[in-house]
Amino acid sequence: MRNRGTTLVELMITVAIIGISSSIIVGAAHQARMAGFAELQRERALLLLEYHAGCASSGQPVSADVTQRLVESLPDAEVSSASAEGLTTVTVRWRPPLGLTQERSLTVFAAAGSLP
Amino acid sequence: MSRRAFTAVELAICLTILIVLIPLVYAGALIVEETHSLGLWHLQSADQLRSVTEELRLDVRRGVPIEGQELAWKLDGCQVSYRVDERGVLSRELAEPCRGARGLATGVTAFERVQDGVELELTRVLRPTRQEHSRFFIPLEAP
Repeated sequence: MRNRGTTLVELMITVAIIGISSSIIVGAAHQARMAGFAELQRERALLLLEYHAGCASSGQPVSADVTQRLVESLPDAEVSSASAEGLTTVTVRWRPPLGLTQERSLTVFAAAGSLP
Repeated sequence: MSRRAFTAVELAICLTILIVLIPLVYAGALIVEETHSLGLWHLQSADQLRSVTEELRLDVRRGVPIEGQELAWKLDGCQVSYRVDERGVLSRELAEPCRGARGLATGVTAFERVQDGVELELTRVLRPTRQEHSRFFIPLEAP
């Protein structure tokens, strides 16, 4: 039997395999965390959207303070609303968490007077 | 074939490599586990936030506030109130004669009435030295 040590190439291949495997595992865990965080942000955006849609339906004025408190945990959040023929379209847009590129937005149509 | 025992230097090198590798693998596994667990906690928090919001909104809309008590309503002849117990479980409770309680969220570290709404704080203890907090404002005065 020929006895020799490992060559540099063999060592590099081993290190590369370990590195690639661990980066896949860490990346997958990070992706899972970001997906969960994105869901939480969606829920925050939904609170904001429901508040604005509720105000549009009942004709109550939107409170800047409440909006500010709802927006502060959503990065770059924007609320826009447009009314036409008694129907208000409220849209919330916000920046997704790090690692996710797709733009996030939610839209709801609120009919004036639909809430008691 | 030459057969020889390992030298003290070889043993020292092996032990050194092991001493470095074992904590590295352990720390790596811990980081992955924590990251994954945080993702699950965010999902759970989103779900709990929705439950709390829906229940509160229905109570605000249908119930009559009880004087002198925060977050308590009279609803269909029952008294409804929200309580956080010592384990951090937020529950919606019905007093006599309509007894009953429903757990809405776990890991609740704050649930308080503020102007125009309610503030809810959820906390996840990852390890004794690391905690994650999420604070939410739920508007209640909105229709």
